[in-house]
Amino acid sequence: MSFRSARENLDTGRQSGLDLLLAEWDAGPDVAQFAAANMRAELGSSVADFTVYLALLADNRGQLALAPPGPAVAFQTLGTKFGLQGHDASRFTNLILGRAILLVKYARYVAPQLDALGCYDTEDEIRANLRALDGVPENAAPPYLRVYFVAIRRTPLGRGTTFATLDISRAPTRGPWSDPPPRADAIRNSLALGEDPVGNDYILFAYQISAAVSLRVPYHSESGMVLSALVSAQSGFGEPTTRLDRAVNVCI
Amino acid sequence: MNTDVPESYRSGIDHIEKLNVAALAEWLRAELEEKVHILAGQLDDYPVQALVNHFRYLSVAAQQRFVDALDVLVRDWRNEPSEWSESAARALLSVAAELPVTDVKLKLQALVLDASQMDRVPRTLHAAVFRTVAAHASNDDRKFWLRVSLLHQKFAGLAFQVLVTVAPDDAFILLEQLPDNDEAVGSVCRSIGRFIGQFAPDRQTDVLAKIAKSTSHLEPPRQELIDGAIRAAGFEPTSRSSEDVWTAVNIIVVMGRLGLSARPSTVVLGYSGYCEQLA
Repeated sequence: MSFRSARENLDTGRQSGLDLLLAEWDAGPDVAQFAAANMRAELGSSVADFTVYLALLADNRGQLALAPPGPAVAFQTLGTKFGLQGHDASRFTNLILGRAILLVKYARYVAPQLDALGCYDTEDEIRANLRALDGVPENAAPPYLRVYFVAIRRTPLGRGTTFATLDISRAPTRGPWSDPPPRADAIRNSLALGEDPVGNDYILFAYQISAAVSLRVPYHSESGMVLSALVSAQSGFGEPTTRLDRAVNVCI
Repeated sequence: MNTDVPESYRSGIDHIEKLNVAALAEWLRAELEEKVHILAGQLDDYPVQALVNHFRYLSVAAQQRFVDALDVLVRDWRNEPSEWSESAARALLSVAAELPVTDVKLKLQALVLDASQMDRVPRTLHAAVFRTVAAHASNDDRKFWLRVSLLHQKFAGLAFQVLVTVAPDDAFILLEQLPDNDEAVGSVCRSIGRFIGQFAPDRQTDVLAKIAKSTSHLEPPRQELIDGAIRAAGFEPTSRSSEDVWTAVNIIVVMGRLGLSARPSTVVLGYSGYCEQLA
């Protein structure tokens, strides 16, 4: 699914359900229970397997933070382990699993909009600025960085999309968010993409994995990558349920 | 071929390994135009990230052919930019920015310095061209980037960002000739903190004074913008008026050492400015 079609899905409301599941895996049982409840509502009995998979990822995030190709191997190993435990990843092929986007890819994606606005930065600078915007509400951003918000909003995925950056290089025992984990509105404001309609919060970039593809988690990772941790279900899993106010970090 | 190739990459890698430079260039062009997708990866990986991801798993010989093919395509695009769609040209430049393409860098540098050729490149792609050259910048390129700041004044700030990384001391020269436009000053603001921060703490006072002096030719609002960026980065900008005082004092001292007498007006200006500072 391209950025554009992902956005169209969001716009047309075809994507529904467990809009998200993002937060601190280590944040405590209440968050985990919240996540599990949401997943159960959306996925029925298959949630158990998926939770196992997420837990596997969480437990092994230290390995997953390595520079490629390390994580590729780690993910393959985890996939094998998942299978050996009797789980079937193919059951989740209809999930829309949020995935991490390389910051380099996002920088590339937003660069044409920056150019159009007369904001000429090197790629390194664009990445650094995107990271620097983490946690900065638009109206509090320095004037020379506000152009980034304008550019982000101009992208097909911009308006109404929420995303945050995380430092994947932090110690495996620490979550990507600062402590305590921020609330959804803070996450939204982390890159301040404008006023989203109430209850329409999304964490950056949802990807629909086609039924023909086994569940796969991205293995590209780097410090400061843009996080996508939207876990959602396609229509057919029921009516939209809880909007984000707590989240589970899948620790990728 | 690298034995650690992920299974999903194998077919793409096998395909690339078999192609000679000409065939690679043809296939690459089709990938960049998004007419062909044979590589692994999610759709949003195409074409740039998918190409970059696969490159690292190629044999050394295939990597070289790949780079040579990119070189061919950049030459073709440079010669006939109108024959390329904007998205394909942008993708080509993005791939070139990610891979070790020394010859491509030289070609793009020549393009940038040739005004008539650069005029043929769509304006919407100019920044992408500079960005690609910047991705391969080294200390040897400092003169090139100083020239860029004079020839393409909107991109002077981007040139500053490059010099901050590859030749920090030359970045001061660029600041002195920084054009007074929003684009250039904006780019400087976004990188000035990193620029100052890379100097040793005992040099930072001197660096801040140099920045104040080098940017004193800008309009006051733009000076304020730069000062604000310096503050936001956690440094205290040097007051330009005190900088003027010390410049005058330094001139007097130097002239004295040379056995010359300072002109009274210089001394008075310097002294009155100094008094204002004290007040």
